[in-house]
Amino acid sequence: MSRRRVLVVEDDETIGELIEAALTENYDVAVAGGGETGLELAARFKPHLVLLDLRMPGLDGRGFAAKYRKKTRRPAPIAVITAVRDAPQAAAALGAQGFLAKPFDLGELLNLVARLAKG
Amino acid sequence: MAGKAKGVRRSKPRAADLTADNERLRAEIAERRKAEALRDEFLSIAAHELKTPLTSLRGFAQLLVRQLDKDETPDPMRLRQALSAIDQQSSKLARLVNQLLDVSRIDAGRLRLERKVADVVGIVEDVVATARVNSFRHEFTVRAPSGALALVDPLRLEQVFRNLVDNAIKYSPDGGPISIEVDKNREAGVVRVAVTDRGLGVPPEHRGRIFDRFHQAHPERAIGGMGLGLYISRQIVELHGGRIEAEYPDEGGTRLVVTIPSGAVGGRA
Repeated sequence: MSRRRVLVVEDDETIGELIEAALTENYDVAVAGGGETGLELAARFKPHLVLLDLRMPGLDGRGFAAKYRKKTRRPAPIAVITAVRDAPQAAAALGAQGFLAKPFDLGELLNLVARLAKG
Repeated sequence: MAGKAKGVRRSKPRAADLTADNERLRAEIAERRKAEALRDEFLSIAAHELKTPLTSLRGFAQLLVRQLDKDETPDPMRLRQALSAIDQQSSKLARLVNQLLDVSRIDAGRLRLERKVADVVGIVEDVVATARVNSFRHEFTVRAPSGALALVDPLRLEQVFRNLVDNAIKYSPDGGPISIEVDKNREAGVVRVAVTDRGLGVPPEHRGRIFDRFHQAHPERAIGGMGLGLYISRQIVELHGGRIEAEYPDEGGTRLVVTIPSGAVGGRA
């Protein structure tokens, strides 16, 4: 099986770098610094999973999810990675397939990605 | 003494008085609820801001430990990236915690200055040198005399200038010029520092509150921060006997001007 593709949409540059460094051994990873760039990258990169921050300048996580699902024929599952107080509720409100609350454990990130990027 | 006092007549409260009391109580309750909502919102923002650097700290540390556990020698580039991230994010976390401590000190009236004779131009130049390293997208210019001595708390004043320059960077997300001017006015006995950007500016409805605690000029843009920087800066400047003002140039952006008395040394530099 070819390597699965994971798109990270996260405005904090360091957290984007962290997730990329953690996943790059087993996945192809693309990182977008905001919702708008995320949509452009998603169209080209065709991810198997989107890891999505919620609170971002410009197009935020909710806006990204709505537009991405609308313009993509078979959208990939979305997992929310957020520092908001109630991460499970925020993920449910977005119809996300998974979530991670910041500050997350690296093992939890790897398990989440392994579970959702299976295709 | 118990019982009815002889000769004292208790008049019934008048309806108008009761209505006024009720209105006052309602206003108090509304004010208190507003303060509680503001505090809750602040706690939520503060928690979010603190969790962001913590995520990187924890993640990069765990990444290195996992590599070592697998008996892998971390690639020097990766090792450098992880350690730099840990270093930068711990500084960011320390700054946030210090802001919270400063607010607590201000509330308790315990924010104190340790004044000594210092060169305000030198302080400004140090702040700009750090900003240049941290942001390649902004073009910094400094216009200043060769020196401007003043009797100030140099660390606290550095905190103010750093905050003004950081704000200029943060609110100019597309890059652009940031100018810093230092003037000394010997007659008036003051030193003035102005930081001007050509960024997002401040919407008119927020202009009256930018120095308020917890206030964010662009809450809809999720730019980050706890809404404490300008509040703390104003307190520090006022402790120096100075003032801080915001101006909004016609061509856009924001100009923040700090004026502080130079103290007994003003005429010498």
